[in-house]
Order: sequence, then structure tokens, then C-alpha cells
Amino acid sequence: MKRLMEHTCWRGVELDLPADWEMTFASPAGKPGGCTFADRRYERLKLQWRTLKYKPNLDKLVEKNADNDREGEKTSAMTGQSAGWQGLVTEIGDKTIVHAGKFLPENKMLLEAIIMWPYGRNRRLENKILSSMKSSKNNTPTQSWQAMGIRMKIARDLDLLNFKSEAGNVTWKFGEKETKPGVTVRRIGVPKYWLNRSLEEWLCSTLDLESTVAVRRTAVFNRHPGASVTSTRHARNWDRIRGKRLLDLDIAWRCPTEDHVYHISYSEVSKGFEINMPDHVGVECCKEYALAPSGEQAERRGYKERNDGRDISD
Amino acid sequence: MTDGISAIEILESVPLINQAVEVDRGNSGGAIIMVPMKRPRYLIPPLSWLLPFSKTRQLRLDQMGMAILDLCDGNSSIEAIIEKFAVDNKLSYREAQIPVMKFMRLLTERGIVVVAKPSKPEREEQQTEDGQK
Repeated sequence: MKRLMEHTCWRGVELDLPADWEMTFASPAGKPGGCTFADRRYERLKLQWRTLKYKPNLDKLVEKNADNDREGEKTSAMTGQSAGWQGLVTEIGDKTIVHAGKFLPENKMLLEAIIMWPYGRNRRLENKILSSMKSSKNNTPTQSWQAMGIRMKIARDLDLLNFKSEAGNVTWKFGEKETKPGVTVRRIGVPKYWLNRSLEEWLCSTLDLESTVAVRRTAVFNRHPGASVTSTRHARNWDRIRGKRLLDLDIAWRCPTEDHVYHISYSEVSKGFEINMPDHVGVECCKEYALAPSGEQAERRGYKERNDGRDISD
Repeated sequence: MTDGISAIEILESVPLINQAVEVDRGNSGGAIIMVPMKRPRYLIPPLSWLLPFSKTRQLRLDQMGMAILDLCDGNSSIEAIIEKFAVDNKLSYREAQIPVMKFMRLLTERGIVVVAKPSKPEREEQQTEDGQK
């Protein structure tokens, strides 16, 4: 049976994972890249990446640590893995932990992955995951981001400064510096419980107290009816002297396929009252909903079948 | 609640609604839950004349809270409730897990729900059945 896979792009690294492995940790700005994924019961993948000046000698690292067994553990070098990956496999009873590393020479990046197999190792799935891990293309003007239910593209020079993921409410803030105005993307679930007015009114209610609404109108975003609100705030003193003000553009739409509300805010300091969403910001929606079934039973069954000598596809 | 119980056991536990609570449903989808209170032994006259005692404690639940409470049918495990809530609201499993677990904790603290841990042989039996399927 084919397993549902989910694509993730985070800080320049892309990978495909079983859909029931959800992100539980993601690296913030200014820290080494890293993500952790867990299924419903266990942590399954820990991925870290960093740029190095020189190519590391992974052979030596593997050689040094292979057969370095502790009590109740059996460690050996990884074999039959996806191209470019090297690592160690530690078996603790039925459980297996795979430590793997790969150096990407094109951007001098070292990827390190720790995959946990609590229900028995599935090498086919492991190779599928490892072969999907790569760095995003650097030659495009925009960078893709896909995690926590949001799929979007934004200019490469804007970094994700801040993010927050609460129950059904994900907020990503992009910008050059924390203090400078930038782009904020929110994806909010369960609107049937909290959206008890029009999107326009709701957008106005989300504005700062000091904001003054300049223009409010309905519009279509991603083929869905939505609302757009332009508001002004006092700019910093230096900008005010120069006759500038802080303009905020807030747009929102409700995607019926996902049953989520998308809210994008864009701010800029300007002399006029006109503000438009930059072309480099693109948020995708309308992904068909399917709850990722727990892979636990399939993994247990697959492990048992592999041990019985039967081949299974994953 | 979590003393000596693993996260897996919590997911497999079944929440049961306290039979003594009264639910007064409103038009908005929310409800007022009335939980009977036990009179403390020290609350006897003349102290009870000074300290008024209410026989019930009231808790107002919104539409979302009632949606979760309605899923507690006495048979579904917490994991099944999370799954159902996720599907009903088009959320991922983890997105649904956080509010449901928080809410379950609140309901157990207020005495509205009791979480029953499945007995070990029952769980093992279930796992064997799943393995055979």
C-alpha cells in the first residue's frame, strides 16, 4: 500500500516524509538549521544542517564509531542506503536508530539525520526519505516554504524572523530585521467557531489601536472571496519629518477546501496612501484535506512481514 | 492524572462523563454544565450561616467545548476523539491534539470527566488483533 507522503521546505532544505510524521520543532532565525518530526507516539526524525568550510570525512567518522557497541546495543555501518549518505545503524532490541550524514558540495552543506524506527526498520521508506532530502535551488528569486500547513513563496532576501504554531493557528513573520516592517502570514483553523462576522470587520478588529483604516473593500484572492483593509499608523519620528507614514495592507480569505482563514499583512513606509501586495509573496491554498492515518499498524505489520521473508511495498 | 501513566496510555484511555453532571444547552451551541458539589464536613451551622454553599458548580462551555464533550461517548479513546475532532475541523492530528488534551485536562480537573485507563490484558488483546488483521 502506498503511504501518503508530505513535502516540507524549511530554511532552504526540502524533504518528503510520511504524512503522519508532523513537525514538532523547527529552527528559529539565526540558529543552525534543524527540524524534528514525530508520529502520534514517538519522535521519528531529527534533521540538522549547517554550512561547513571544508568537506568532512564521513568515512572516518563512520569507521571510528562502527562496532562501538554499548550494552544491549549493536552498532554497524549503514549499507544499501541512498546515494551520498553514510552513517551508522544502532539496534536496540526491536528498535533501530539510524544516524546518517550527507555533504552537499554545491552549497557546502552538511545534512545530518537521525531516524528512529520504534516498530522495526523500514529500509525502503528510509531510503525514500533520505533520497528526498536536498537543499532548495538558490538560483530562483523566490524561496519556497512549506510546513505547518502553509505553502508559500517569498523573496529570497526576506527571512523568517519569527514563527508561532498554536492549535490550528500558525503565524509566520518574514522580514529583513525584526524592527523593520515586513510580511506576516497567518493560517487559522476552525473559523466556524470564531468567525462570526464578515472578513472585512474581522480584519479591522485585528488592527492595532493606533491604526486608522484608510480603505476597506472586498476582493478575490486565490479564487476565493476575501477582504482587504489598508490602514495607516504613525511612522518613526525621522520618517514623519520626511512626510512618510506607516501603511499596512491586510488581506484575508477563507479557503472552503481547507476550511481555514488565510491572513496576510504587509507593511511599508510610504508618502502616499497606495499599498499593494508585492509580487514575490505567493500563498497557496486549496489542498484537499485528508487526516494522515497513523502509520503505526502498517509499520508493525510491515516489519512482521519482512521478518517472515515476504516483500511488501510501502 | 499523568503520574505513572505514559503518553501512549493516556491516548488509549477512555474519557467517561460524570453521570451526576447536568447539561443545559443554549441556542448558540454552547452549554452550562452543572457539577454537584460535596458539602465540606466543617460547613455546619453556625459556620454555614456565614459561608454560603452552592450545591453545584457551574461551568460555561462554548460551541467548541461542547463539540469535544459530545465526542466523549464512553467508548471512544482520547486518540479516537482527537482524530474525530481533527476530521470535523479539517485539522492535522497534532493541531487537534493540543486543544483536545488541554480541554480534557480542564474537564477532569473540574470533575466533569473521568479518564479510565484500559486494563493491560485488554490492550495486549487489541494489539494482537491489530497484528492479525
